[in-house]
Amino acid sequence: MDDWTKATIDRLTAEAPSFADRALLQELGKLMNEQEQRIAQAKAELDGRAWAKRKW
Amino acid sequence: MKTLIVVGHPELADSQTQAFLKAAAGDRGRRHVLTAPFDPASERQLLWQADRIILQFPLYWYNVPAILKQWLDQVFDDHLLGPAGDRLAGKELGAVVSLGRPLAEFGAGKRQGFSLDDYLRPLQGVARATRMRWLPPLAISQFAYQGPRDQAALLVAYQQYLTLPQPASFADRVNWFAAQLARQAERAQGDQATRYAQLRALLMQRQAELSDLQDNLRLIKEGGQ
Repeated sequence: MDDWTKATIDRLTAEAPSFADRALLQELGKLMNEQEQRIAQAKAELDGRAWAKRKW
Repeated sequence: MKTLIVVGHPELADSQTQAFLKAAAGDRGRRHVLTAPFDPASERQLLWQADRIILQFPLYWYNVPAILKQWLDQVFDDHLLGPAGDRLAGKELGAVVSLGRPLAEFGAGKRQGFSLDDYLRPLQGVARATRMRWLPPLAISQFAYQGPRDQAALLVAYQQYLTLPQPASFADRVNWFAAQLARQAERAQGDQATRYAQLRALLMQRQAELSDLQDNLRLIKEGGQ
């Protein structure tokens, strides 16, 4: 997770008045990590397919 | 989507799990605590109005508690299903089941002998006979022993179980979180509201990026590369 996202989630968590708010932020962090991973995998796959040697 | 939460618990006032779930649900579903005797006419109205019906109960001797069985026996009849037998057709039926044993003990060859799906088979049968779609159950295993991080994860999983379309894609889950963040941004004030809105914007922007990448990949694959 990038620094800005982590700092924003951490700050909102520290200020969150309720357990439910903190829970939402905790699980949002997990989802955003998964989203980053999916983007990285899709980019890598796109790159791999664009450089497929059958095209050379 | 209208969600009806049918709570069947013989000792509700003493249940930490049920108190937690009540607070977690908030306004995400209509909570209906079963107390006998039942008025079948009003019970039918509740069921007919719901899109998703969640049975919420502790597993007692691998079964639903007596109050829930009594409700099923008395309310689920020809009047409920209507002349064509389709008054519940197309709705979803789910179960939020609290367990006194670890979920890992459930399964063939394990300590509890059978999987939770096996033990819940009669409820799946009800869903099938009434033409409702059975949702994978949400199991809550030994709530009192869970730490704060696990309980936080459970809280969100439960809220999703009440309101998220099933089965949910990754994009559905992202949209669900975006809606929660919008709600938080409305409730919060000043800088906090701004930060919730910024997180939502970033989440959606990255999802658009992911969607574009997936579209490009699909095109390449369809092109036989």
